[in-house]
Amino acid sequence: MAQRRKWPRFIAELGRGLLMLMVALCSAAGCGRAESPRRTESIMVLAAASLADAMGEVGAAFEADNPGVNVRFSFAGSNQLRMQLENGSPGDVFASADRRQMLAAQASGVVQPATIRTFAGNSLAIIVSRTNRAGVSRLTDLARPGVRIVVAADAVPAGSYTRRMLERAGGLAEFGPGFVRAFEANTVSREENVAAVVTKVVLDEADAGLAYLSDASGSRAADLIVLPLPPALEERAEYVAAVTARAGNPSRAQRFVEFLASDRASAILIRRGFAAPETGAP
Amino acid sequence: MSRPGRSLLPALLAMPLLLLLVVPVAMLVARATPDALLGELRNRETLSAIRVSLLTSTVALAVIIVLGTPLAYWLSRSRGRFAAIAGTLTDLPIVLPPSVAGVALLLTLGRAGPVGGWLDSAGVRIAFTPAAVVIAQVFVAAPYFIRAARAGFESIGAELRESAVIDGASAWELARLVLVPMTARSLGAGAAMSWSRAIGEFGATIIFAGNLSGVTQTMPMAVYLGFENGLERALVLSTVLIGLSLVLLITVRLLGWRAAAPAS
Repeated sequence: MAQRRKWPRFIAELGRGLLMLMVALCSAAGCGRAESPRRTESIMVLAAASLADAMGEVGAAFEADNPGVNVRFSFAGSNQLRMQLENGSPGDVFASADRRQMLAAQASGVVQPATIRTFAGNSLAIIVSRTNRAGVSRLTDLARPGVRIVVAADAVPAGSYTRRMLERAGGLAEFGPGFVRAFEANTVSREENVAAVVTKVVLDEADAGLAYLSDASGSRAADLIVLPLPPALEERAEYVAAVTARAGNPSRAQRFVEFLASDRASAILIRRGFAAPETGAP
Repeated sequence: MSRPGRSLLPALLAMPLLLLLVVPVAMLVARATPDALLGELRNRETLSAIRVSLLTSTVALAVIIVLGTPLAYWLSRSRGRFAAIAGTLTDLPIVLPPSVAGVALLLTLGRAGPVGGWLDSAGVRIAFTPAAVVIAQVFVAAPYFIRAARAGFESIGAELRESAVIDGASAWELARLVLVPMTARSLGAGAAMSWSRAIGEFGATIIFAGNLSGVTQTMPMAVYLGFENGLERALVLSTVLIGLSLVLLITVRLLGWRAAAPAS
Protein backbone atom coordinates (compact mmCIF):
# COMPACT_ATOMS: atom_id res chain seq x y z
CA MET A 1 0.00 0.00 0.00
CA ALA A 2 2.75 2.35 0.93
CA GLN A 3 4.34 1.54 -2.41
CA ARG A 4 1.21 2.48 -4.28
CA ARG A 5 1.02 5.88 -2.61
CA LYS A 6 4.57 6.74 -3.45
CA TRP A 7 4.16 7.94 -7.01
CA PRO A 8 1.38 10.54 -6.60
CA ARG A 9 3.15 11.80 -3.52
CA PHE A 10 6.42 12.04 -5.37
CA ILE A 11 4.74 13.99 -8.19
CA ALA A 12 3.12 16.34 -5.70
CA GLU A 13 6.45 16.97 -4.00
CA LEU A 14 8.19 17.44 -7.32
CA GLY A 15 5.50 19.89 -8.45
CA ARG A 16 5.76 21.86 -5.24
CA GLY A 17 9.53 21.96 -5.57
CA LEU A 18 9.39 23.16 -9.16
CA LEU A 19 6.84 25.82 -8.28
CA MET A 20 9.04 27.13 -5.49
CA LEU A 21 12.03 27.11 -7.80
CA MET A 22 10.08 29.10 -10.38
CA VAL A 23 8.98 31.63 -7.80
CA ALA A 24 12.55 31.98 -6.61
CA LEU A 25 13.92 32.38 -10.13
CA CYS A 26 11.16 34.78 -11.04
CA SER A 27 11.81 37.07 -8.14
CA ALA A 28 15.53 36.95 -8.87
CA ALA A 29 15.00 37.76 -12.54
CA GLY A 30 12.35 40.31 -11.76
CA CYS A 31 9.32 38.80 -13.51
CA GLY A 32 6.10 40.73 -13.41
CA ARG A 33 7.68 43.98 -12.38
CA ALA A 34 4.39 45.83 -12.51
CA GLU A 35 5.76 48.04 -9.77
CA SER A 36 8.62 49.48 -11.78
CA PRO A 37 7.69 52.81 -13.40
CA ARG A 38 9.39 52.07 -16.71
CA ARG A 39 9.77 48.74 -18.39
CA THR A 40 13.26 48.05 -19.66
CA GLU A 41 13.38 47.19 -23.31
CA SER A 42 16.35 45.36 -24.64
CA ILE A 43 18.15 45.12 -27.94
CA MET A 44 20.18 42.03 -28.64
CA VAL A 45 23.14 42.79 -30.90
CA LEU A 46 25.04 39.95 -32.55
CA ALA A 47 28.43 41.52 -33.24
CA ALA A 48 31.72 40.48 -34.84
CA ALA A 49 34.36 39.30 -32.35
CA SER A 50 36.69 42.16 -33.32
CA LEU A 51 34.11 44.66 -32.02
CA ALA A 52 34.08 43.18 -28.52
CA ASP A 53 36.31 45.84 -26.93
CA ALA A 54 34.58 48.84 -28.47
CA MET A 55 30.92 47.87 -28.50
CA GLY A 56 30.42 48.11 -24.74
CA GLU A 57 31.08 51.84 -24.89
CA VAL A 58 28.92 52.28 -27.99
CA GLY A 59 26.09 50.42 -26.27
CA ALA A 60 26.44 52.54 -23.14
CA ALA A 61 26.26 55.75 -25.21
CA PHE A 62 23.11 54.51 -26.91
CA GLU A 63 21.56 53.58 -23.57
CA ALA A 64 22.34 57.07 -22.25
CA ASP A 65 20.45 58.58 -25.20
CA ASN A 66 17.57 56.11 -24.91
CA PRO A 67 16.54 55.70 -21.30
CA GLY A 68 14.90 52.41 -20.54
CA VAL A 69 16.65 50.61 -23.38
CA ASN A 70 19.16 47.97 -22.50
CA VAL A 71 21.67 46.88 -25.18
CA ARG A 72 23.04 43.38 -24.89
CA PHE A 73 25.77 41.85 -27.04
CA SER A 74 26.76 38.44 -28.23
CA PHE A 75 30.22 38.31 -29.83
CA ALA A 76 31.51 35.60 -32.16
CA GLY A 77 32.92 35.22 -35.64
CA SER A 78 30.57 37.00 -38.07
CA ASN A 79 30.15 33.74 -39.98
CA GLN A 80 29.02 31.99 -36.79
CA LEU A 81 26.59 34.77 -35.95
CA ARG A 82 25.14 34.66 -39.45
CA MET A 83 24.71 30.91 -39.10
CA GLN A 84 23.07 31.32 -35.69
CA LEU A 85 20.59 33.76 -37.20
CA GLU A 86 19.85 31.36 -40.03
CA ASN A 87 19.08 28.71 -37.46
CA GLY A 88 16.60 30.89 -35.62
CA SER A 89 18.77 32.39 -32.90
CA PRO A 90 17.26 35.52 -31.33
CA GLY A 91 18.90 38.83 -32.15
CA ASP A 92 17.72 42.26 -33.24
CA VAL A 93 20.84 43.62 -34.92
CA PHE A 94 23.59 41.84 -36.84
CA ALA A 95 26.97 43.64 -37.02
CA SER A 96 29.33 41.82 -39.38
CA ALA A 97 33.05 42.39 -39.93
CA ASP A 98 32.67 41.96 -43.66
CA ARG A 99 30.16 42.49 -46.40
CA ARG A 100 30.34 38.87 -47.49
CA GLN A 101 28.63 37.55 -44.34
CA MET A 102 26.03 40.33 -44.54
CA LEU A 103 25.26 39.43 -48.16
CA ALA A 104 24.96 35.78 -47.19
CA ALA A 105 22.59 36.77 -44.38
CA GLN A 106 20.61 38.84 -46.86
CA ALA A 107 20.46 35.94 -49.31
CA SER A 108 19.00 33.68 -46.66
CA GLY A 109 16.49 36.33 -45.64
CA VAL A 110 17.56 36.79 -42.02
CA VAL A 111 18.29 40.53 -42.25
CA GLN A 112 16.22 43.42 -43.61
CA PRO A 113 18.15 44.60 -46.72
CA ALA A 114 16.87 48.18 -46.56
CA THR A 115 18.44 48.64 -43.13
CA ILE A 116 22.02 47.68 -44.07
CA ARG A 117 24.56 50.36 -43.06
CA THR A 118 28.34 50.47 -43.20
CA PHE A 119 29.44 51.91 -39.87
CA ALA A 120 33.20 51.44 -39.50
CA GLY A 121 36.35 50.35 -41.19
CA ASN A 122 39.45 48.51 -40.08
CA SER A 123 42.55 47.05 -41.66
CA LEU A 124 44.07 43.63 -41.60
CA ALA A 125 47.33 43.80 -39.64
CA ILE A 126 50.16 41.63 -38.41
CA ILE A 127 50.10 41.11 -34.66
CA VAL A 128 53.17 39.96 -32.77
CA SER A 129 53.47 39.21 -29.06
CA ARG A 130 55.46 41.63 -26.91
CA THR A 131 58.32 39.18 -26.47
CA ASN A 132 58.58 38.85 -30.25
CA ARG A 133 60.92 35.89 -30.03
CA ALA A 134 60.80 35.33 -33.76
CA GLY A 135 61.90 38.93 -34.40
CA VAL A 136 59.06 39.77 -36.75
CA SER A 137 59.11 43.35 -37.98
CA ARG A 138 57.54 43.13 -41.42
CA LEU A 139 55.41 40.86 -43.57
CA THR A 140 58.29 39.06 -45.28
CA ASP A 141 59.55 37.92 -41.86
CA LEU A 142 56.49 35.68 -41.66
CA ALA A 143 57.93 33.54 -44.46
CA ARG A 144 61.10 32.73 -42.52
CA PRO A 145 61.32 29.04 -41.62
CA GLY A 146 60.06 28.19 -38.15
CA VAL A 147 57.89 31.25 -37.57
CA ARG A 148 54.55 30.06 -36.17
CA ILE A 149 51.62 31.93 -37.63
CA VAL A 150 47.96 31.73 -36.59
CA VAL A 151 45.25 33.05 -38.84
CA ALA A 152 41.45 33.01 -38.73
CA ALA A 153 39.60 30.23 -40.57
CA ASP A 154 38.65 31.07 -44.16
CA ALA A 155 34.97 31.50 -43.33
CA VAL A 156 35.78 34.14 -40.68
CA PRO A 157 36.05 37.72 -42.05
CA ALA A 158 39.65 38.12 -40.81
CA GLY A 159 40.43 34.80 -42.49
CA SER A 160 38.89 35.81 -45.78
CA TYR A 161 40.80 39.13 -45.71
CA THR A 162 43.97 37.13 -45.03
CA ARG A 163 43.25 34.84 -47.96
CA ARG A 164 42.70 37.85 -50.25
CA MET A 165 45.89 39.51 -49.05
CA LEU A 166 47.86 36.33 -49.78
CA GLU A 167 46.34 36.02 -53.24
CA ARG A 168 47.46 39.57 -54.04
CA ALA A 169 50.89 38.99 -52.52
CA GLY A 170 51.31 35.97 -54.77
CA GLY A 171 51.01 38.21 -57.79
CA LEU A 172 53.50 40.85 -56.64
CA ALA A 173 57.17 40.57 -57.57
CA GLU A 174 58.18 41.65 -54.09
CA PHE A 175 56.46 38.63 -52.51
CA GLY A 176 55.39 36.08 -55.11
CA PRO A 177 54.19 32.50 -54.89
CA GLY A 178 57.25 31.46 -52.87
CA PHE A 179 56.28 33.85 -50.08
CA VAL A 180 52.71 32.55 -50.08
CA ARG A 181 53.89 28.92 -49.90
CA ALA A 182 56.24 29.70 -47.02
CA PHE A 183 53.49 31.63 -45.21
CA GLU A 184 51.08 28.71 -45.60
CA ALA A 185 53.72 26.26 -44.40
CA ASN A 186 54.27 28.38 -41.29
CA THR A 187 50.55 28.56 -40.52
CA VAL A 188 49.98 26.35 -37.48
CA SER A 189 46.29 27.01 -36.89
CA ARG A 190 43.17 28.48 -38.47
CA GLU A 191 41.17 29.76 -35.52
CA GLU A 192 37.39 29.98 -35.18
CA ASN A 193 37.37 33.75 -34.78
CA VAL A 194 39.80 36.66 -34.72
CA ALA A 195 39.70 36.94 -30.93
CA ALA A 196 41.14 33.42 -30.71
CA VAL A 197 43.98 34.50 -33.05
CA VAL A 198 44.78 37.41 -30.72
CA THR A 199 44.66 35.11 -27.68
CA LYS A 200 47.14 32.64 -29.17
CA VAL A 201 49.56 35.48 -29.91
CA VAL A 202 49.08 37.20 -26.53
CA LEU A 203 49.79 33.87 -24.81
CA ASP A 204 52.96 33.70 -26.89
CA GLU A 205 52.02 30.30 -28.28
CA ALA A 206 52.21 31.69 -31.78
CA ASP A 207 54.89 34.10 -33.05
CA ALA A 208 52.52 36.14 -35.15
CA GLY A 209 48.93 36.34 -36.27
CA LEU A 210 46.81 38.16 -38.78
CA ALA A 211 44.24 40.33 -37.01
CA TYR A 212 43.28 44.01 -37.16
CA LEU A 213 44.87 47.44 -36.67
CA SER A 214 42.20 48.08 -34.00
CA ASP A 215 43.93 45.48 -31.84
CA ALA A 216 46.55 48.16 -31.15
CA SER A 217 43.90 50.01 -29.11
CA GLY A 218 42.04 47.03 -27.69
CA SER A 219 42.03 45.61 -24.17
CA ARG A 220 45.04 43.42 -24.93
CA ALA A 221 47.09 46.09 -26.70
CA ALA A 222 49.70 46.09 -23.92
CA ASP A 223 50.69 42.54 -24.81
CA LEU A 224 50.84 43.10 -28.54
CA ILE A 225 52.86 44.74 -31.26
CA VAL A 226 50.62 45.64 -34.18
CA LEU A 227 52.28 46.08 -37.56
CA PRO A 228 50.43 47.47 -40.57
CA LEU A 229 50.62 45.56 -43.83
CA PRO A 230 52.65 47.10 -46.71
CA PRO A 231 50.50 49.68 -48.54
CA ALA A 232 50.35 47.52 -51.66
CA LEU A 233 48.71 44.76 -49.66
CA GLU A 234 46.46 46.79 -47.42
CA GLU A 235 43.24 44.92 -46.82
CA ARG A 236 40.39 47.14 -45.69
CA ALA A 237 37.77 45.60 -43.48
CA GLU A 238 34.24 46.91 -43.66
CA TYR A 239 31.82 46.67 -40.73
CA VAL A 240 28.21 46.40 -41.78
CA ALA A 241 25.12 46.32 -39.58
CA ALA A 242 21.47 45.56 -40.27
CA VAL A 243 18.21 44.91 -38.48
CA THR A 244 17.39 41.22 -38.43
CA ALA A 245 14.24 39.87 -40.06
CA ARG A 246 12.94 38.59 -36.73
CA ALA A 247 13.77 41.66 -34.63
CA GLY A 248 11.31 41.96 -31.74
CA ASN A 249 10.96 45.71 -32.25
CA PRO A 250 12.34 46.63 -35.68
CA SER A 251 12.11 50.40 -35.22
CA ARG A 252 14.11 50.24 -32.00
CA ALA A 253 16.68 48.00 -33.66
CA GLN A 254 16.76 50.41 -36.58
CA ARG A 255 17.53 53.25 -34.15
CA PHE A 256 20.54 51.32 -32.93
CA VAL A 257 21.79 50.67 -36.46
CA GLU A 258 21.41 54.37 -37.27
CA PHE A 259 23.26 55.20 -34.08
CA LEU A 260 26.13 52.90 -35.12
CA ALA A 261 26.45 54.90 -38.33
CA SER A 262 26.26 58.24 -36.48
CA ASP A 263 29.18 60.57 -35.83
CA ARG A 264 28.88 59.91 -32.12
CA ALA A 265 29.39 56.14 -32.42
CA SER A 266 31.98 56.74 -35.10
CA ALA A 267 34.02 58.90 -32.71
CA ILE A 268 34.01 56.11 -30.12
CA LEU A 269 35.01 53.51 -32.68
CA ILE A 270 37.78 55.70 -34.09
CA ARG A 271 39.13 56.23 -30.59
CA ARG A 272 39.17 52.43 -30.29
CA GLY A 273 41.34 52.06 -33.36
CA PHE A 274 38.72 51.59 -36.02
CA ALA A 275 38.52 53.69 -39.16
CA ALA A 276 35.66 55.87 -40.28
CA PRO A 277 33.38 54.12 -42.77
CA GLU A 278 34.54 54.73 -46.30
CA THR A 279 32.66 57.61 -47.86
CA GLY A 280 30.33 56.61 -50.62
CA ALA A 281 29.55 53.28 -49.01
CA PRO A 282 25.83 52.73 -48.45
CA MET B 1 -2.62 -8.53 -10.48
CA SER B 2 -1.83 -5.67 -12.78
CA ARG B 3 -1.64 -2.07 -11.66
CA PRO B 4 -1.73 0.01 -14.82
CA GLY B 5 -1.37 3.25 -12.87
CA ARG B 6 1.94 2.15 -11.55
CA SER B 7 3.45 0.82 -14.70
CA LEU B 8 2.25 3.51 -17.09
CA LEU B 9 3.20 6.63 -15.19
CA PRO B 10 6.95 6.03 -15.09
CA ALA B 11 6.90 5.13 -18.76
CA LEU B 12 5.07 8.36 -19.57
CA LEU B 13 7.45 10.41 -17.48
CA ALA B 14 10.36 8.73 -19.21
CA MET B 15 9.25 9.83 -22.66
CA PRO B 16 10.16 13.55 -22.82
CA LEU B 17 13.81 13.06 -21.97
CA LEU B 18 14.06 9.91 -24.05
CA LEU B 19 12.71 11.81 -27.05
CA LEU B 20 15.09 14.69 -26.42
CA LEU B 21 18.03 12.29 -26.37
CA VAL B 22 17.02 10.29 -29.41
CA VAL B 23 15.18 12.57 -31.85
CA PRO B 24 17.98 15.09 -32.64
CA VAL B 25 20.40 12.28 -33.41
CA ALA B 26 17.82 10.58 -35.61
CA MET B 27 17.13 13.86 -37.44
CA LEU B 28 20.82 14.34 -38.12
CA VAL B 29 21.21 10.88 -39.57
CA ALA B 30 17.98 11.27 -41.56
CA ARG B 31 19.31 14.46 -43.18
CA ALA B 32 22.45 12.77 -44.49
CA THR B 33 21.55 11.24 -47.84
CA PRO B 34 23.66 8.34 -49.14
CA ASP B 35 24.67 10.48 -52.15
CA ALA B 36 25.96 13.27 -49.94
CA LEU B 37 27.73 10.72 -47.78
CA LEU B 38 29.55 9.17 -50.70
CA GLY B 39 30.32 12.53 -52.28
CA GLU B 40 31.73 13.99 -49.08
CA LEU B 41 33.71 10.86 -48.35
CA ARG B 42 35.74 11.66 -51.47
CA ASN B 43 36.49 15.16 -50.22
CA ARG B 44 40.10 15.58 -49.10
CA GLU B 45 39.36 17.68 -46.03
CA THR B 46 36.66 15.31 -44.84
CA LEU B 47 38.99 12.37 -45.26
CA SER B 48 41.85 14.05 -43.47
CA ALA B 49 39.56 14.90 -40.54
CA ILE B 50 38.59 11.24 -40.31
CA ARG B 51 42.23 10.18 -40.59
CA VAL B 52 43.44 12.65 -37.95
CA SER B 53 40.63 11.59 -35.60
CA LEU B 54 41.27 7.87 -35.96
CA LEU B 55 45.05 8.21 -35.67
CA THR B 56 45.11 10.52 -32.68
CA SER B 57 42.38 8.71 -30.76
CA THR B 58 44.08 5.35 -31.32
CA VAL B 59 47.39 6.67 -30.05
CA ALA B 60 45.56 8.29 -27.14
CA LEU B 61 43.88 4.99 -26.32
CA ALA B 62 47.23 3.16 -26.37
CA VAL B 63 48.69 5.75 -23.99
CA ILE B 64 45.66 5.48 -21.73
CA ILE B 65 45.87 1.68 -21.54
CA VAL B 66 49.64 1.52 -21.04
CA LEU B 67 49.77 4.25 -18.39
CA GLY B 68 46.25 3.91 -17.02
CA THR B 69 46.42 0.22 -16.11
CA PRO B 70 49.22 0.58 -13.54
CA LEU B 71 47.59 3.72 -12.17
CA ALA B 72 44.24 1.97 -11.80
CA TYR B 73 45.92 -1.02 -10.15
CA TRP B 74 47.77 1.20 -7.71
CA LEU B 75 44.55 3.05 -6.88
CA SER B 76 42.72 -0.24 -6.30
CA ARG B 77 45.40 -1.50 -3.88
CA SER B 78 46.32 1.63 -1.97
CA ARG B 79 44.39 2.60 1.11
CA GLY B 80 46.28 5.73 2.12
CA ARG B 81 44.96 9.26 2.11
CA PHE B 82 47.25 10.19 -0.76
CA ALA B 83 45.74 7.46 -2.94
CA ALA B 84 42.23 8.58 -1.98
CA ILE B 85 43.02 12.12 -3.07
CA ALA B 86 44.68 10.87 -6.24
CA GLY B 87 41.63 8.73 -6.99
CA THR B 88 39.35 11.75 -6.76
CA LEU B 89 41.66 13.89 -8.86
CA THR B 90 41.76 11.30 -11.64
CA ASP B 91 37.98 11.64 -11.90
CA LEU B 92 38.15 15.41 -12.19
CA PRO B 93 38.45 15.62 -16.01
CA ILE B 94 35.04 13.88 -16.29
CA VAL B 95 33.28 16.85 -14.72
CA LEU B 96 35.68 19.57 -15.88
CA PRO B 97 34.45 21.58 -18.90
CA PRO B 98 36.70 20.71 -21.85
CA SER B 99 37.45 24.40 -22.39
CA VAL B 100 38.94 24.53 -18.90
CA ALA B 101 41.02 21.46 -19.74
CA GLY B 102 42.23 23.17 -22.91
CA VAL B 103 43.30 26.35 -21.15
CA ALA B 104 45.01 24.32 -18.39
CA LEU B 105 46.91 22.26 -20.93
CA LEU B 106 47.92 25.31 -22.94
CA LEU B 107 49.18 27.12 -19.85
CA THR B 108 51.21 24.08 -18.80
CA LEU B 109 52.42 22.57 -22.04
CA GLY B 110 52.32 25.64 -24.26
CA ARG B 111 55.75 27.10 -24.88
CA ALA B 112 55.02 30.00 -22.52
CA GLY B 113 54.20 27.48 -19.77
CA PRO B 114 56.68 25.91 -17.33
CA VAL B 115 56.79 22.41 -18.84
CA GLY B 116 56.16 23.49 -22.41
CA GLY B 117 58.82 26.19 -22.17
CA TRP B 118 61.40 23.67 -21.06
CA LEU B 119 60.38 21.26 -23.83
CA ASP B 120 60.44 24.09 -26.36
CA SER B 121 64.00 24.99 -25.47
CA ALA B 122 64.84 21.33 -26.00
CA GLY B 123 63.32 21.61 -29.45
CA VAL B 124 60.09 19.75 -28.64
CA ARG B 125 57.03 21.56 -29.85
CA ILE B 126 53.63 20.42 -28.60
CA ALA B 127 50.98 23.12 -29.08
CA PHE B 128 49.50 23.10 -32.60
CA THR B 129 50.76 19.55 -33.33
CA PRO B 130 48.95 16.19 -33.42
CA ALA B 131 50.74 15.46 -30.12
CA ALA B 132 48.65 18.22 -28.54
CA VAL B 133 45.50 16.57 -29.91
CA VAL B 134 46.57 13.25 -28.36
CA ILE B 135 47.38 14.88 -25.00
CA ALA B 136 44.01 16.64 -24.90
CA GLN B 137 42.27 13.35 -25.67
CA VAL B 138 44.23 11.46 -23.03
CA PHE B 139 43.39 14.15 -20.49
CA VAL B 140 39.64 14.01 -21.02
CA ALA B 141 39.26 10.30 -21.82
CA ALA B 142 41.63 8.54 -19.40
CA PRO B 143 39.34 8.76 -16.35
CA TYR B 144 36.77 6.47 -17.97
CA PHE B 145 39.34 3.72 -18.46
CA ILE B 146 40.87 4.25 -15.02
CA ARG B 147 37.48 3.95 -13.33
CA ALA B 148 36.60 0.76 -15.17
CA ALA B 149 40.00 -0.84 -14.65
CA ARG B 150 40.08 0.13 -10.99
CA ALA B 151 36.65 -1.37 -10.37
CA GLY B 152 37.80 -4.52 -12.15
CA PHE B 153 40.93 -4.83 -10.02
CA GLU B 154 38.95 -4.19 -6.85
CA SER B 155 36.61 -7.04 -7.67
CA ILE B 156 39.48 -9.51 -7.39
CA GLY B 157 39.66 -10.83 -3.85
CA ALA B 158 42.84 -10.45 -1.84
CA GLU B 159 42.87 -14.25 -1.17
CA LEU B 160 43.15 -14.98 -4.85
CA ARG B 161 46.12 -12.69 -5.31
CA GLU B 162 47.77 -13.97 -2.16
CA SER B 163 47.31 -17.60 -3.10
CA ALA B 164 48.81 -16.89 -6.51
CA VAL B 165 51.81 -15.32 -4.84
CA ILE B 166 52.09 -18.25 -2.39
CA ASP B 167 52.03 -20.59 -5.37
CA GLY B 168 55.14 -18.80 -6.50
CA ALA B 169 53.78 -16.41 -9.11
CA SER B 170 56.01 -13.45 -9.90
CA ALA B 171 54.49 -9.98 -10.19
CA TRP B 172 54.53 -10.32 -13.98
CA GLU B 173 52.88 -13.74 -13.83
CA LEU B 174 50.30 -12.43 -11.39
CA ALA B 175 49.42 -9.66 -13.80
CA ARG B 176 49.50 -11.83 -16.92
CA LEU B 177 47.78 -14.96 -15.58
CA VAL B 178 45.41 -13.60 -12.96
CA LEU B 179 44.75 -9.88 -13.01
CA VAL B 180 44.44 -9.15 -16.73
CA PRO B 181 42.37 -12.24 -17.67
CA MET B 182 40.01 -11.68 -14.74
CA THR B 183 39.50 -8.02 -15.53
CA ALA B 184 39.60 -8.25 -19.32
CA ARG B 185 35.94 -7.30 -19.64
CA SER B 186 36.28 -4.25 -17.42
CA LEU B 187 39.43 -3.18 -19.21
CA GLY B 188 37.77 -3.67 -22.59
CA ALA B 189 34.64 -1.75 -21.60
CA GLY B 190 36.75 1.05 -20.13
CA ALA B 191 38.90 1.19 -23.24
CA ALA B 192 35.87 1.43 -25.53
CA MET B 193 34.38 4.18 -23.37
CA SER B 194 37.66 6.09 -23.35
CA TRP B 195 38.09 5.71 -27.08
CA SER B 196 34.63 7.09 -27.83
CA ARG B 197 35.27 10.02 -25.51
CA ALA B 198 38.64 10.64 -27.21
CA ILE B 199 37.08 10.61 -30.68
CA GLY B 200 34.41 13.05 -29.56
CA GLU B 201 36.83 15.42 -27.82
CA PHE B 202 36.59 18.96 -29.13
CA GLY B 203 36.71 21.78 -26.59
CA ALA B 204 40.15 21.14 -25.15
CA THR B 205 41.60 20.32 -28.54
CA ILE B 206 40.60 23.53 -30.32
CA ILE B 207 42.16 25.60 -27.54
CA PHE B 208 45.31 23.57 -27.00
CA ALA B 209 45.99 22.13 -30.44
CA GLY B 210 44.43 24.73 -32.71
CA ASN B 211 42.83 23.85 -36.00
CA LEU B 212 44.68 22.91 -39.17
CA SER B 213 43.26 20.56 -41.76
CA GLY B 214 45.32 17.39 -42.09
CA VAL B 215 47.35 18.12 -38.94
CA THR B 216 45.17 18.86 -35.95
CA GLN B 217 41.66 19.14 -37.38
CA THR B 218 39.64 16.24 -35.98
CA MET B 219 36.13 15.22 -37.00
CA PRO B 220 34.33 17.17 -34.25
CA MET B 221 36.35 20.26 -35.15
CA ALA B 222 35.53 19.90 -38.84
CA VAL B 223 31.86 19.60 -37.90
CA TYR B 224 32.04 22.77 -35.82
CA LEU B 225 34.06 24.87 -38.24
CA GLY B 226 32.70 23.34 -41.42
CA PHE B 227 29.11 23.93 -40.38
CA GLU B 228 28.92 27.40 -41.86
CA ASN B 229 30.71 26.52 -45.11
CA GLY B 230 28.75 23.48 -45.96
CA LEU B 231 26.20 21.67 -43.92
CA GLU B 232 26.96 18.59 -46.01
CA ARG B 233 30.37 17.96 -44.50
CA ALA B 234 29.08 18.52 -40.99
CA LEU B 235 26.26 16.06 -41.63
CA VAL B 236 28.53 13.41 -43.08
CA LEU B 237 31.10 13.68 -40.32
CA SER B 238 28.37 13.71 -37.69
CA THR B 239 26.93 10.56 -39.18
CA VAL B 240 30.33 8.89 -39.15
CA LEU B 241 30.83 9.98 -35.53
CA ILE B 242 27.41 8.71 -34.50
CA GLY B 243 28.09 5.38 -36.20
CA LEU B 244 31.45 5.00 -34.48
CA SER B 245 30.03 6.01 -31.11
CA LEU B 246 27.19 3.50 -31.42
CA VAL B 247 29.59 0.68 -32.25
CA LEU B 248 31.72 1.59 -29.24
CA LEU B 249 28.73 1.91 -26.92
CA ILE B 250 27.40 -1.47 -28.02
CA THR B 251 30.86 -2.89 -27.33
CA VAL B 252 30.74 -1.38 -23.87
CA ARG B 253 27.30 -2.91 -23.34
CA LEU B 254 28.40 -6.34 -24.46
CA LEU B 255 31.41 -6.20 -22.17
CA GLY B 256 29.23 -5.17 -19.25
CA TRP B 257 29.84 -1.56 -18.37
CA ARG B 258 28.41 -2.25 -14.90
CA ALA B 259 31.89 -3.24 -13.96
CA ALA B 260 32.81 0.39 -14.24
CA ALA B 261 30.38 1.64 -11.63
CA PRO B 262 32.11 3.89 -9.13
CA ALA B 263 34.26 1.89 -6.80
CA SER B 264 32.81 1.73 -3.33
